[in-house]
Amino acid sequence: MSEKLQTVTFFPDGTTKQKSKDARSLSTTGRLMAYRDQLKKNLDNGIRFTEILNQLITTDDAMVLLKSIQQLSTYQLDSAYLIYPQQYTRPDFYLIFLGRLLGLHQAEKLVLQANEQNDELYQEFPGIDKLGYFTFVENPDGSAYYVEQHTQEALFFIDFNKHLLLFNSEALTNLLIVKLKKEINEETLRKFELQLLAIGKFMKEDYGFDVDFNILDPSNYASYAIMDDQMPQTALDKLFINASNAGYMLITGMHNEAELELSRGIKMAVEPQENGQWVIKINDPDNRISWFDVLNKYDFIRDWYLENLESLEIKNDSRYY
Amino acid sequence: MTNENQFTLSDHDEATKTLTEAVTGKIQYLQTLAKAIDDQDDRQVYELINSKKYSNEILHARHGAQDTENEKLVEDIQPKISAFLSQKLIKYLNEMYPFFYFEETAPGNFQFYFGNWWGRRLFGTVDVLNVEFHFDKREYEKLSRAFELEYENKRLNSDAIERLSKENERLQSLIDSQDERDQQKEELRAQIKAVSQEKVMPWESSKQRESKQKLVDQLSHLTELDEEANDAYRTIRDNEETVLALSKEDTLIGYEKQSIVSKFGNFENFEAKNKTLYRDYIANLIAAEK
Repeated sequence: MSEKLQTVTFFPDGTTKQKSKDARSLSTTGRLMAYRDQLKKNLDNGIRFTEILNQLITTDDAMVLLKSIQQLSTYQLDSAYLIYPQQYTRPDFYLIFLGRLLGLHQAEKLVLQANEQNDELYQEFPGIDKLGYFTFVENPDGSAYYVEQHTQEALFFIDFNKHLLLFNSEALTNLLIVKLKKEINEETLRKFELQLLAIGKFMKEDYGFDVDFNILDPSNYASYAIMDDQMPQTALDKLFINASNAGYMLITGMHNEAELELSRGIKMAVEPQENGQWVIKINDPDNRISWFDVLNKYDFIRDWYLENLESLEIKNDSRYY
Repeated sequence: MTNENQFTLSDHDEATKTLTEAVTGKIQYLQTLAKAIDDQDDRQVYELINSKKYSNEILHARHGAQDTENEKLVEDIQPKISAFLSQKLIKYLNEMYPFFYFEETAPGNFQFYFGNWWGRRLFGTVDVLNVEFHFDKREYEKLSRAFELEYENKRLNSDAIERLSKENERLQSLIDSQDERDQQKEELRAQIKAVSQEKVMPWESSKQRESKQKLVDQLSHLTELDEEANDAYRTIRDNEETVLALSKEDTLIGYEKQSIVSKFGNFENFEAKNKTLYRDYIANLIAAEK
């Protein structure tokens, strides 16, 4: 019985601490005062929460914005003394954060919406509209996946405390290149890609996050590592034939790599790196074109990639996907 | 004292004279060659190392001057001569045959690929001293055959690809019809059982055997198809691989044909040019001298 009378203190970081002092030894007044103290502490905790929330919603300072979401990502609002029945969830705050960050850069295209049935917040992208219902799904440690709910595809992983943002090539391919490509035009998909890129770019530039853009990376230095651990001979032979049928020529480069000129100055290469890992590379004069863009624009490459995923699929960071 | 019985020796002075002349001839030959090399006069080098070929092809002289004896002097340094002559020759060949990619495997030794496209074929070697291509017979034959097939509107492997594709369709339907076959077998077994148990008059027994045998034959035919269907997945995959290899080859040859047509107009012109390569090249060297 004595266990039930133990004092349990809930701390903002979610941990609890039990005091082994036997409550029956306290006087009635003492008990009431202890209760009052706890209540006040928890009310203060609530007040502090409103202050942080206020920062999230109103600050124009990018650093304050990050600080607010980091705190909220682990904030424990409810306690044994005080429960708030009306609450936004942490995933809701993450969406608000994304919107605010893009807003600070005048780059917000994603539209924050509220689900009328359960008051949950979600994002929509103009042009994709009802076909994309984007929310965060959080992990116990406060990190989260940005997920399209109809398909459950997790487009990226974010950890505000470890300063990490990783895009997921498999999910981006499944959602955008396989599914939405049938209904959404190339331009809209490109705009959506640019919005995702903007998120990664601001997290990197404003906050020094470690960002893996994966197949969205438009830099010529980007190497998209494929599954096959040796030369994807069969896939390349097929590409040679498909390209020829589409009016392009796959050529053998100086070091036996495979090269395809897609249009003036835009070249795709499939080649080994020094460590033996085979990669796809996209080279263009302006560093504007990513592997995703190529998949989005060139039908014969898209068909080829999807038909040969077994050897060509671009690798993800296996720690997070 | 003289020994009268000794044979008389030839005149030593005469011998000295002839040998000196012979050696001088060789020295002159080598000096001419050395000067030609020094002057970067590839044409004269060609003339000096194979006078017979040169006079036949260039001077159209049937019994032209031949200097095969002196030419033997440089036989052992042919690789070096080849290395010397290759620079201008490969440059010329690059211009005349822009679709050949020459790779120097050893000084003066060249092999060449047809095209720079993926999976391009190794197409032969260059004989620098004779200004001649030694084509890979198998690859050349394929190309030549592909040009012939053009008149039938076919590619080299069209027939084989069609045959394999049909075979795969058949195998796929064999796999797809497994349930149907299982049902048929079931029915046949029931019929066989029924026929066997049927009581017939002795004079009808041979007819009964016959009809039973017919059913058994049908059943075993179905079982054979089952076995084929079991292997079909692998066969289909093997066939697909073969079709891929054949389509790749057709694509390669398609590019080769395009290259030849765009440079030479047709295959016949290409072959004719190959035959006169030595003559054309020397003529080019002569023209460059002027």
